[in-house]
Amino acid sequence: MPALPPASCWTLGNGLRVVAIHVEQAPILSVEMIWRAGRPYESQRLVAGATNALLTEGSKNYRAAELETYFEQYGTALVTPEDMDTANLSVATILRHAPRLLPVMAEVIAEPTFTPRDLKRYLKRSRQQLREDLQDPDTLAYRLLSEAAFGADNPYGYGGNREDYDALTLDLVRDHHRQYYGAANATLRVVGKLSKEVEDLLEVSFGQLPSGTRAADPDYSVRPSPPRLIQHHRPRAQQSMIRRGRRGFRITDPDYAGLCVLETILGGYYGSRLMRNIREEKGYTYGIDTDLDTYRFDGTFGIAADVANENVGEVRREIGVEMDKLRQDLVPPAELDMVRAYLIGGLVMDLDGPLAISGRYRSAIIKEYDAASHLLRLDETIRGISAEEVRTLAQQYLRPELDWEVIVGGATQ
Amino acid sequence: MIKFESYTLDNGLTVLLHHDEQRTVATVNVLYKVGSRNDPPHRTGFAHLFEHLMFAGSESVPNFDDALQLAGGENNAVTSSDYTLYYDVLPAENLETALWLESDRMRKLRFSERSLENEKRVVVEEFRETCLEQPYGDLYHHFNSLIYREHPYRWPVIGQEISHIQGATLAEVKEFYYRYYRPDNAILCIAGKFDPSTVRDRIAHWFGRIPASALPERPAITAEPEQRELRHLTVRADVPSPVIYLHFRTEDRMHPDFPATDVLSFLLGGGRSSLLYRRLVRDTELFAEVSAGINDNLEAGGIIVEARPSEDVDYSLAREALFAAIGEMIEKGINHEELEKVINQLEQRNHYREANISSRANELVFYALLGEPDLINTEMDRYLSLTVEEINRVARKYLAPTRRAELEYLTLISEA
Repeated sequence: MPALPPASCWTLGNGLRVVAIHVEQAPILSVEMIWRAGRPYESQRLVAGATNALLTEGSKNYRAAELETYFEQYGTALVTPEDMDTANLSVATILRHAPRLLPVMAEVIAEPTFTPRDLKRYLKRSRQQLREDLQDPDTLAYRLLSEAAFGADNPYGYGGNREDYDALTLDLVRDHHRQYYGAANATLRVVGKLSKEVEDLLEVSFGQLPSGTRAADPDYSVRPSPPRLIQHHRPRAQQSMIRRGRRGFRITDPDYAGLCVLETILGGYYGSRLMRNIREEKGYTYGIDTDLDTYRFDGTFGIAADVANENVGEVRREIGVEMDKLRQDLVPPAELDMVRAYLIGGLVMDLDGPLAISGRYRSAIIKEYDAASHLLRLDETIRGISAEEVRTLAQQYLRPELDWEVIVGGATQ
Repeated sequence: MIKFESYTLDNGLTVLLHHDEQRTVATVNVLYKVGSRNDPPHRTGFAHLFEHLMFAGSESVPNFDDALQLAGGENNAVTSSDYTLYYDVLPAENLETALWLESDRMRKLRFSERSLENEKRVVVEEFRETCLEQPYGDLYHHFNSLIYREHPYRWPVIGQEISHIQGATLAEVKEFYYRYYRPDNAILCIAGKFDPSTVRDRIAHWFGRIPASALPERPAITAEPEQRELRHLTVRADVPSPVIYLHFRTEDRMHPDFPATDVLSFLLGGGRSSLLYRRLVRDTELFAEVSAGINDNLEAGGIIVEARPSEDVDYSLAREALFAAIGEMIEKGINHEELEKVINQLEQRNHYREANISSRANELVFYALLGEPDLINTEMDRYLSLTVEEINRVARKYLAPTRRAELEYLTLISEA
């Protein structure tokens, strides 16, 4: 596997760190400000998301509609990608238009208006969205599981409710912006055709932003309830959603790379144990997947499937059987080889082209790890892990008694 | 400019090659010119069910996914109303594996009662998961049958009802395969890093000897008659909010008006500076969300508008405002600045697609399906030559009420 191509890194006059990937093939320029300003840093529920969303609702010289018209006139848009750990603002454009767009983006960052009307409008929209989300069983199941596994007070656990929106104020939003949206607390991710002109443009646009201070790591704590089964009955549903899992996984853990292999074997690809057993042999579901998902300070390992009500019991049993097999038996060499090939292929594809490479750096910026050594460690583990080591990991981490489980749907058992 | 080569094998297989030495991967796309439009009316959803069976093993490959994963590849497939597309992405040095796998399942699929029965169960669960258990999940069941009266587009790709899927037989599967899954009804595209000096030989080796169709006769598709009247349907269901869906009938994909209607739909409701978003969300806050897009079915396409009113407003007032904004587009039309925006957007999209090999490959096979792969480079010129007058003409023509179909998807508690 090729190594991760290095990024160009430098610091602007105000201390803003730049991580840039060069594009040879096309005259494009895409920039993203990433601030350590997500949920783990907020003073009250939903403040981080509200601040990030309100950022594009108006600045000193542009109302929201004017910003939208301005950027779209040049064929692009200012977007605020959502992330648990960070606040984000990005624009993807072509070189020719960048000198007109980046300074306005900088104004949006430094001088947002945060007016009462914007907040009111945001709250109205968010309450409607919340009510609609809660009627979607998939979203509901996700919220129930997250709240149970992390505890309802945890930044990664809470779903947010009407009362949380009611409690938001402009002062909270302004404080959050003042405290966390400084250049010293951010990284600028750049992917595009780099040149002296581009570097100058970045300096002129973003090097002038207020520095602020780098935020200290937040006090991260978890107060979960004991593992249990949560059932939410939907009388008319023909299917039930099975969601189970637990927290406590970090991308920097020594076992993380090995867990990626274990997770893939259990339910991480088409050929996985769960897909073979429950979809390919029994036809009980359209899909059953595992998911190893990490944040900056925590992470989850979960299993999800939607199945007909009458098969819920059997599917739950079979999930237990498959976990048990991995704890008891060695993974056969042919299967382990296939998983190695599949995962290495995935790494190769993740390095295909500058946009994909920049994506690997993005994840490393958000979760604050070293992208190159992480990739090396993944590569080495995938190639070298033995069946015995996989079994040991299974014994340590596949622990049904530690999982929370949510069943949303028509099953009555 | 996307450089590519195109040629046809003796058995009728269309081949497209797009070489890009800078990639670490190669993609193999195989498009079969068969979609839900080819479903028999009593077997709706059949083309999609068949797509599942293409993964259940072929003559010398017991399990497609296993073999591809061993080569470090990813793959998937998608069935649309007009075509079924299989795509594999893998490290460039393993390209040959994908050629072997795709040619094997084009040559001879393994048919078995057991895998058919199993995939029927899987697809029934897919139907339940996507159409029955999600709010608005049956939207296309209602909307398609409102938009189309005769054409098979009147049912959704997943199928009209579960019993059609459950009734599929192995005899039907075989006949479908030998009628539609033949090289003369397929397009192969290889994109990314490969050896240009040997690739044609490798393609000939794997695909050259697959026989063309022995069942050349493919049933004609019933054409959709012209729409001459306003259509309307109200659906009430257990959904959280009312949503209005509109469809304005336009023309076939290859009609000269297609680029203008595509641009019209973008200026009407694509992005936040579009007319509908400005009037209905920014100016008045009557709607929480509104957007428009193009239905690019090969035949009898249209402009689709989706509008979700704000929860605290009078529903009928919001609905009136939606039609007033569309009326504004018909009466006042667009200006030069808006056309400039379109050109900037196209230029941006053009440069970014350079960076994504999969999207280039998908576009190539799509244009080959239209019969003119060169359109990947030349259709842009037709967009760039559009004028304000041209857009305004198509706005007046195609946004007319007699071309409109309206679906009001309402909650169980009356809003109207």
